[in-house]
Amino acid sequence: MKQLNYKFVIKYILPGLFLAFCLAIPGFTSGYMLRVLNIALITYLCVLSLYVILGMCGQNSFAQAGLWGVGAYMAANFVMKMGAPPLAALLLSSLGTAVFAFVLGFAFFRLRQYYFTFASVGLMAILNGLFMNWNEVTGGALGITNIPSFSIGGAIIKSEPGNFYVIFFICLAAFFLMKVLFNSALGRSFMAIRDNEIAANCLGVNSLLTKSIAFGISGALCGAAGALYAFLAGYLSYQTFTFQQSTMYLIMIMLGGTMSPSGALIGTLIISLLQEWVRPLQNYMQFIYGAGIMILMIVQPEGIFGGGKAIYDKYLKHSKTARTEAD
Amino acid sequence: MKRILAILLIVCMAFGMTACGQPAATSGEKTAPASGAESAAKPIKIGLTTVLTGDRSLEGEYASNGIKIIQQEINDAGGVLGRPIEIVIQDALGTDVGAVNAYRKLADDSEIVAIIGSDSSNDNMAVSPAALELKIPTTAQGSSPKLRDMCNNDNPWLFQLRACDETLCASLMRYAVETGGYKKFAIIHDTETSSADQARLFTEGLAKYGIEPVVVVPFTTGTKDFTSHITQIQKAGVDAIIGACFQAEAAILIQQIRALGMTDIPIFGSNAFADPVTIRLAGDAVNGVYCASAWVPTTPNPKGAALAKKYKELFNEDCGKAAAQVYDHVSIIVEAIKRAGTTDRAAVRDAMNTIDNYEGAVTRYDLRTNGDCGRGGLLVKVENQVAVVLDQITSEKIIKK
Amino acid sequence: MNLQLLVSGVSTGVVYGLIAMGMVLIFRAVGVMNFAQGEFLMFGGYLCYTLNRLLHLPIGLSLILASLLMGAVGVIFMRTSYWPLRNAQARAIIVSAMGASIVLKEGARLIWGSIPVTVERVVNGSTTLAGSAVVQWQYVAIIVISAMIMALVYLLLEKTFIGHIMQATAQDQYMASLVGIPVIMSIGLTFALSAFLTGIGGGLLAPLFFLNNTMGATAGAKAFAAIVIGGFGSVQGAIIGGLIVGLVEAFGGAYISTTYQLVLIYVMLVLVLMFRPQGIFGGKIQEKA
Repeated sequence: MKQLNYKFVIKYILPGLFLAFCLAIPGFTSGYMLRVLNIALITYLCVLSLYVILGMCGQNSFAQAGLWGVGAYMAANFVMKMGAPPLAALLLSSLGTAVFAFVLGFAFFRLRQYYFTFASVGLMAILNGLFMNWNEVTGGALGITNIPSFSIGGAIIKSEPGNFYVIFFICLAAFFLMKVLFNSALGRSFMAIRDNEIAANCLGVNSLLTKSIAFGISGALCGAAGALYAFLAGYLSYQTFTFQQSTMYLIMIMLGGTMSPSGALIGTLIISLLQEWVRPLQNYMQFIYGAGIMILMIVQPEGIFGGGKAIYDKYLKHSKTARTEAD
Repeated sequence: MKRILAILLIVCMAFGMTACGQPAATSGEKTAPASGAESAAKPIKIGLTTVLTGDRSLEGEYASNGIKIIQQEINDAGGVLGRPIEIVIQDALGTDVGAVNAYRKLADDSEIVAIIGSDSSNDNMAVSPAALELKIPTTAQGSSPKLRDMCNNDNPWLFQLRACDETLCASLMRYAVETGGYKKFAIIHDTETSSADQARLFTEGLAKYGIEPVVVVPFTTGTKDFTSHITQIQKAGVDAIIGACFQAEAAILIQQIRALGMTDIPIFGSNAFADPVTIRLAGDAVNGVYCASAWVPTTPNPKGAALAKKYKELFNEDCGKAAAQVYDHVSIIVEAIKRAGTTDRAAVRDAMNTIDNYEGAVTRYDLRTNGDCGRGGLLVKVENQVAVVLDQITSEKIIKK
Repeated sequence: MNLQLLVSGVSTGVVYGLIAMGMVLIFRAVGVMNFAQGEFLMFGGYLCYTLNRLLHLPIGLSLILASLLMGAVGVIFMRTSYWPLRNAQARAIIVSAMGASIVLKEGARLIWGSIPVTVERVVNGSTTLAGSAVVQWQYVAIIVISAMIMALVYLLLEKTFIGHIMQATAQDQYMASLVGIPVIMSIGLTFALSAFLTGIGGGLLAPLFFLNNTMGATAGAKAFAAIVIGGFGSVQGAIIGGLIVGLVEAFGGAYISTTYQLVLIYVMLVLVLMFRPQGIFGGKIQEKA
């Protein structure tokens, strides 16, 4: 009975409280903090995309920020050149980026493991070069200005809290979709490939197709994130979608723990907040930030969520043995 | 145990963060207010976002030094409205997201009257929606014509306190064609925002004389070896080279142009080509470079010359453009506060629009419309590693109503 | 014109080769790409600047001292960002190396400021080849010195006892420890050698390309491309890859597009991966991965 309570608390009450807390956030934080959180949540979608491709499928990609940019520029073009409503642009750019990633996946996943990672570094550099120089579509280095805000129906969502709720619900939906994916046949085949690709092939998993689908799904998440960013920021330029940003995603998911969407969330929040948290250090801020990443990684090599889970498991085991002894 | 410690650390950080997020948070560089008036006067705060860390940190180094000088000067003169001023600096990180976060962090502090943007049109355009939404007078250091149009048409809260590149580029081209008599040009430029923009303006400036550049060679930021670019220019057989890029690249470029045998060819360049950093790095190679610059330390402007001298004394370096610019930006904001007689943001904004003839260290300013407020620049030739001012460029402001 | 391009391609290529070689040594020893290798280049350059310009030592001596100091930096780097994570998964080491690269970059800015600086040349002046190609002596010096260092490293690895210890550790750490090799010392030496190689490149390039704290990123990226093109895990491959990258940069810039010069290298990287994933000299990665 006692143990059930723990489980109940961990499974329902804590997440419930967390959700309520999140919904209340715009009530008590400043505009600056909300903007930081908005960006962090958008980043979370990208980190979640890395969770699909890296955590589930075991393929490390450095091209996620590039896909994020593809989504963002697509959304901006849909809205500004074709006059699509923002909601449609959001869906279209998410879909478009998914297709883009899926097709590229077919070419790139002929390469295994390390080689795919190398190719993704190349893809990132190529995409950034395009963002910077393709004047007709990306506005060149000057970028695209005056992108309209997000709107549903006729309701324009301009304020920071409004954007927060929109982004938050999309993140929540993505979170649960990932949970569903995790338990689905597709998700299991991703994980089979991660754990042993040859064995998975023997069991009838088409690894090229499956990996491309995983990359496509990660593209969809990045595309949605890109569109949300475009509407939130109102301005796009090449200096946002860089290799550094991609490495940041890897840092986030590694710190949080690669094995679950919650880990990705923890990692994203910690790194995003750490960056703002070190602001008062002025000149020293990035130095301390870099050192912070190193220290966190060294202390917690399996990620914070992994570490937390280990403590929880240990505790469960401990209480179990204690109970048996009491019996 | 280690794990528990780590998690505790993170919890502490998270709480520390929420504390930082409170509107009353105070951070940034603080200097004690001028002695004597401590209890009576709470300082008037002005925000500055600049790039302190990361790839463009050169700007931040100059800007923080420039801020120290102007803050001291104003506070020694008794401050404004009887109160000293205090400049709060936030790091824009050199990215759009960083610039906006820094801006919003400053904007959260309701005591901040106005915010000075960083020295990049990209950053300025990224913060523009925030300025419009939060209604804070914001000055931009970028010089792109696109930014000018944005200030003039879309955003009454954003001021481009700088001469727009159009004026400078056009007058440099006029000099090259009319005085220099050159006819065949090659343009070599960085693909980064402001340089690509300037290259376009140079081309337009030449088009007025019916001249088309023989060859245009763009390169990526961070390029170190220009051999393949310069050989293309050599092959084209031009009589002058036009360049647009930042200091480090400009120095390498000039040096390599000279090293590859084009020792006498005149080079016309963007701002950075006569910058103290470029001159020091490139050494003798930089002699004979022409440049339409917003700022050189040898400026004939009395206020500017005084600033350059003071900067050299204090920091033992030549005063850079970013330092002079923030110097002017602070003075203009202070002037506006003086005119408004209050620190109310809207009143200060309106007062800024009344400033129509303000002599700054860099140039004269006219803020009747928000874009292209700087009224001119300097036409410079580098001789014996010193930037010699040939002429002062001025332009009259076109006001369309 | 072509001769001119050839000279510039080869001389930048050998420097990419030096960095790439440092990266490969570390990859072979610990099985992880070092994302902070470009920062070693920058740091080595700045150390050389300190000795040459601030302490006024002659350039040759500064180069040698700076690269030896870089060896020490390499050991510190290994002790702080690799050793604590030696039993963790490779990605954790990559992340801590990324953290270390930020620390190095920002540390250099805090120490030396962000205004670019330069050091003396090893040899001044230039000469003209075949009537048209101008060759700066510094380029020649870079090629000669790099070639000498590469030869020495080859001898060290293949012909000496220490080299054999390092190679044994690279092949199998556990086995090496069983036969009595002090693994930490051996890996430390590898990191030191790697930082030494890259650091000397920084000192050599400084007078031509100047130093600033962010120069590492581009150089590191190109060295990375060099490794992939040359073949992962192979020292010869790194050198050849470096030369290829340098030449593609020079000739591609002149004949295809300067705007997309960097993109061109990466397109080439992707193409090489598609058609010959193990690179030109590759093969060893299969055992490692």
